[in-house]
Order: sequence, then C-alpha cells, then structure tokens
Amino acid sequence: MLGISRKVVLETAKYYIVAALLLIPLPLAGDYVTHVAILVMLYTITAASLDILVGYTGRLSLGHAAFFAVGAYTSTLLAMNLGVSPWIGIFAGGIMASIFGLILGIPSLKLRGPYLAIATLGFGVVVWLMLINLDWLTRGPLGIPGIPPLPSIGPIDFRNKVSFYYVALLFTVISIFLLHLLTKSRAGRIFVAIREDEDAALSIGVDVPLFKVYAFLVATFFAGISGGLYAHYLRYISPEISTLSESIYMLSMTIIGGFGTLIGPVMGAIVLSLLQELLRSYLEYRYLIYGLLIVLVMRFFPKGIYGIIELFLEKAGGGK
Amino acid sequence: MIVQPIEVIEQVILGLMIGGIYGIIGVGLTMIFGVMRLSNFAHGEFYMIGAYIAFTLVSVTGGDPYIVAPLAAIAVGLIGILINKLLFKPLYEEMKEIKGGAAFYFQDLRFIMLTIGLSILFVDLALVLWGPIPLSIPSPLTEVRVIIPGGLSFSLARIITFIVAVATLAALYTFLKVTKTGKAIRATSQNPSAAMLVGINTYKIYDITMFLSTALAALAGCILAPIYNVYPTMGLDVVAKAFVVVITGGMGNVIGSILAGFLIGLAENLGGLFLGTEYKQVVAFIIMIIVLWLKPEGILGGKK
Repeated sequence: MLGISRKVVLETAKYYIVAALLLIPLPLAGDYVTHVAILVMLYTITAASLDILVGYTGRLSLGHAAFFAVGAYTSTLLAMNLGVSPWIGIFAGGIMASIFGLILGIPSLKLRGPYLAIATLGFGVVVWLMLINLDWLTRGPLGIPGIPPLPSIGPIDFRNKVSFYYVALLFTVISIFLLHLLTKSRAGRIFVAIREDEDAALSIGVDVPLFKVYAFLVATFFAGISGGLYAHYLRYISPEISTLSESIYMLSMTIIGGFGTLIGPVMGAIVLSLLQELLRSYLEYRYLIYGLLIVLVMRFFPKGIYGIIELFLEKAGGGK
Repeated sequence: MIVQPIEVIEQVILGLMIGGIYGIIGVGLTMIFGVMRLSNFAHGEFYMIGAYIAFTLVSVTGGDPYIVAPLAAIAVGLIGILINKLLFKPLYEEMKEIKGGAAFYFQDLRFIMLTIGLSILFVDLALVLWGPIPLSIPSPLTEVRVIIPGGLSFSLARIITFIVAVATLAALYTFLKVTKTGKAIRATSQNPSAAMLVGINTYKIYDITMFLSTALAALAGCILAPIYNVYPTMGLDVVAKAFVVVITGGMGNVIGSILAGFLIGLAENLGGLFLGTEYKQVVAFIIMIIVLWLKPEGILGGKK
C-alpha cells in the first residue's frame, strides 16, 4: 500500500537500532553533555522534518519555528488549563501543528520559490505576533513558566535529565526512522518527482496538490512533536521560540547539513548546535563565525556537510 | 474607541511619509530580483550599515546626517558591488552549466541561504564594531516642528525625509526610463539572453543594479536614523516588510513597489489606529497574503 517492502523496513530499522544502542551510554558523560544532547536531538527532529518539505518536495519554508511553537504551546496549555497528560499533549501538539500546516499549506499550493519563502516567513511572523498579543491565552511576551514535566512512569521521574534523555532518544530515533521510511515509500518518490519537475509529475497523473499538502502535514506534525517535548523538558516557553531567527536556524541546519538526504540535516543539527556550544565563550563573535560558515558552505559546498563527506569518501575510495 | 478625524489625517500623513521609505527600500529589493533573479535576504543589512556609516561620519566630521547621507549611500553601494563580484558572480558562472527545474530550485535555495548567511554576519559585525546599545544621530532638524493648519505638527526631519524619498524615487524612475544604462537594466530585467544578444554586458548591469539597490537601502537608513535609533538588528525589522512591499507591488516591478510602499505605509498606520498598535505589523502581512492569493503578479497585474 505504501509502496515499501517489509525487507526495506527491516533493513532500515537495523541502522536505527544500532544508532540507538550506541547512544545509550551517553548520559555517563555528565549532566551538561546530556542537556546539550537532548536539545540537539529535538533540533534533529525539526531539521529532518523540514527536510521533507525543503529537500524532498522542493517547498522552501522560512516559518518552521512557528509549527514547533504551536506544538509547544498546545501541549503546555492543554496540560496547564485542562489537565491533559503531557504524554497525550505532545501528540495533540503535533496534530495542532499539522492543522496550522494545512492553514499555510493549502493557500500556498501555487506559490513557488521566493513567493513561497516570503509567504511562509509572513505566516511565521503572524504566529509570533499572535503568541505575543493573545496574552489571555499565552501570557504574551513573558512566556509560560512552571510547565508540568512528563508524568513519571512508576519510579522513573522525567524531571531527571537522564530519564528525559531516553525519552528524547526514543522519540528522535522513531521520528527519523518514520521519516526515512517515508522518503523510501511511494509518497517519498512522488515528493522528489514534484521537486524535480512539477509539470511532468502532473502530466503522469500525480495528484501534485495532495502530495504537497501531505508533505506539509508530515513536516509540521514532527515539528509540533519536537516542540511539545521541548516545552516539557525546559518547562518554560516564550514567543521567542517562534521567531524568524529560530526558523532560519532550523533551515540552516537542514541546508548546511545537506538537504534532500535526511541524514544530512541530522548532521547539520549536530554540527551547528555543537558549534553554538563551542563558541559560547566567544559570545560576541559567535554569529560572525556562524554567518561566515553559512556563506562559505553555500559558496563552495552547496551540497552541505553531507556533500563534503561524500566527496571525502570518494577520494578515500580511490575514485572508484 | 472613538477615532477623531484629525487623528485619521495625522495617520494618513505619517503613513505616506513612512511609505516613501518603504518605497525606497522595496525598489532596491525588487530591482535585484527583477534583474538578477535574486531574493536578497541581506537587503535590510545594507539599510542598517548605511545608518551606522552615517553615524560614524557624523561623529567624526560633526556634519548633519542629511548631508553625509549620500556619502554613506555611495560607500554601501561599493560594498554591494564587492559582494556581487566576490559571491554572486561566481555562482552565476556556475549556473550557466546547469539545467533542469530542480537545478534552478537548488540555485534559488543557495542564493537565499547565502544572503541569509550574509545577513547574520553583518548583524554581528555591527554588534562587534558599534556595540549593542541603540545609538541616536542628533540632527537639529528633529527639533524644528512645522505646524500645519488643523492643529497637527510634524518635525522638519520627517518632512525632509519624505521629500528626499520622493525626489530619490523620481530620480530613479527617470534614470531607468531615460538613460542608456537605465534602459539596459530594464532590458536585462525583461529578457537576460536577448539583452546579452544585443551586446549588453549582463555582469556589468548586475554590478550597477547591486550598487543602486544597496545604495538606496543605505540612503533610507541614513535619512531615517535621526528619527529612529540605530541598532544592529534594525535591518531585520525592515527586511520582512520590504519583501511584503515587493510582493504586493509584483516582484521585479519598480512602479509597483513604489505604489505598494505607500499603500503598505498607509494601511499600516490606519490599521494601527483602528485595530490598536499591536496589530500594526499584522496588517502588512494580511495585505500581502490577499495579494498573493488574488493577484500573485502584484497590484499592477504584471504591467511594468
């Protein structure tokens, strides 16, 4: 039905199980490393989900942080006002983000290139302004402190960084695994067809608008999930998480990592987050280096980190 | 809330005044898009750097910001040419060798990301060079108030800013219509390959467009600086609105952008008056969304 064989599913799953097993001992490295690793994983989900849209379907989005924020606020408000368990709230946040994805995805179907970029940018700004101005609901620019943590399961308390680390790891591995399967499925191939040549895809009978909306739904759902996890981990959110610079940060992870590869954005999220941490002591020059890096990568290595690694492997393999 | 007619008139005038500035910034952005097919997300940063250079010139020479403005604009225009030669030109050369729909999408993405990178770099450069604290450029003209009949008064600085904006737009329009270079720019915008065939050096046209576009943004920054403060992220606050203006006017359409600048300035100030100032910014985006929906080719409907 999905155009994907069981064999492919099992083969792909192998890599993810190995990756998950390798990451299990990481919290031994201490609280700080665990904390950074959790944030990196949340960004990884967002960057990979954005890749479905930007890399695979060829739909540039400059408003992805808005969906992350919608997920975070939905789950938070459900938990604080209606007492909904965050375990359910996180998924509700994903669904709410998808609804917002539809609100943006359907009217923007016909837009391409810079038009779409600006429409998504505008949508992000509108969400940001809503979060600031609807203060009866969102407490405005002050943000919401004291968000309940994930409820404990038996003796496991998720206020503990190490316990949360495993939750984040589970969510990350499953999310990226699902996204990976999606790219290998029939839908994934249709996404690429739309990116390569929309008119050709239309002429062989692909329902292009449907699949464009589908890509929006998937990408925003995972951004929402990641936002929900973020809210219940840091237990404080503010409209700052939906700003244009956050969206640009997510997009730069996807593009610098190497868009349209899924694994590239994962590497992008890791490299850029670690860079941010390493440059923390050079506070003033941090964005100078960061901006310069984007410029240089885009000027000389448009395929991003993934492309650089590929090039390196080719050379190491004796140019076979 | 009862709105007095005099308040409406005041907001209309203020809206048209800021609209002139939106027009100048939007025209530069739309020219780059029209001629070079480039969405320059760093456009706001040229506006910011212009204001900072004006600040430095004023504090060194003690001159008036309105007098040093052309100097700052030329300096920023030269930076624009430099960026074009270093970063954009090699990409256009590479672009000649690629073909196919997706390749253009990738190239588009590459340009957008490149200019976003430039924007981040420039903002931090300003932060390092001039510090995070908003600076003000004093001009005696801000003190002088011009009273118009009906009990309204505006500072002379605002009026001069408006006059400079309108004069610049008129000069630019004449330049594009009358001079040979202006015609070459318009030809490249309409059909790059045909322009090349008749002997127009497109790279030179790119340089000139880049110069004009960045210099206009810088000029807007300079003449607004005495009214508002100068701070590193001021360009980011403006670039989104510049894109709104450009899309409303039709991308690549100079006249459209000028009209859209006034329209957005007007709508924003009236929106702020009737809906409350917190929704001022939303008005511009709503106009853009309606235009994208109903007339994606812009308010002038594709006419140039």
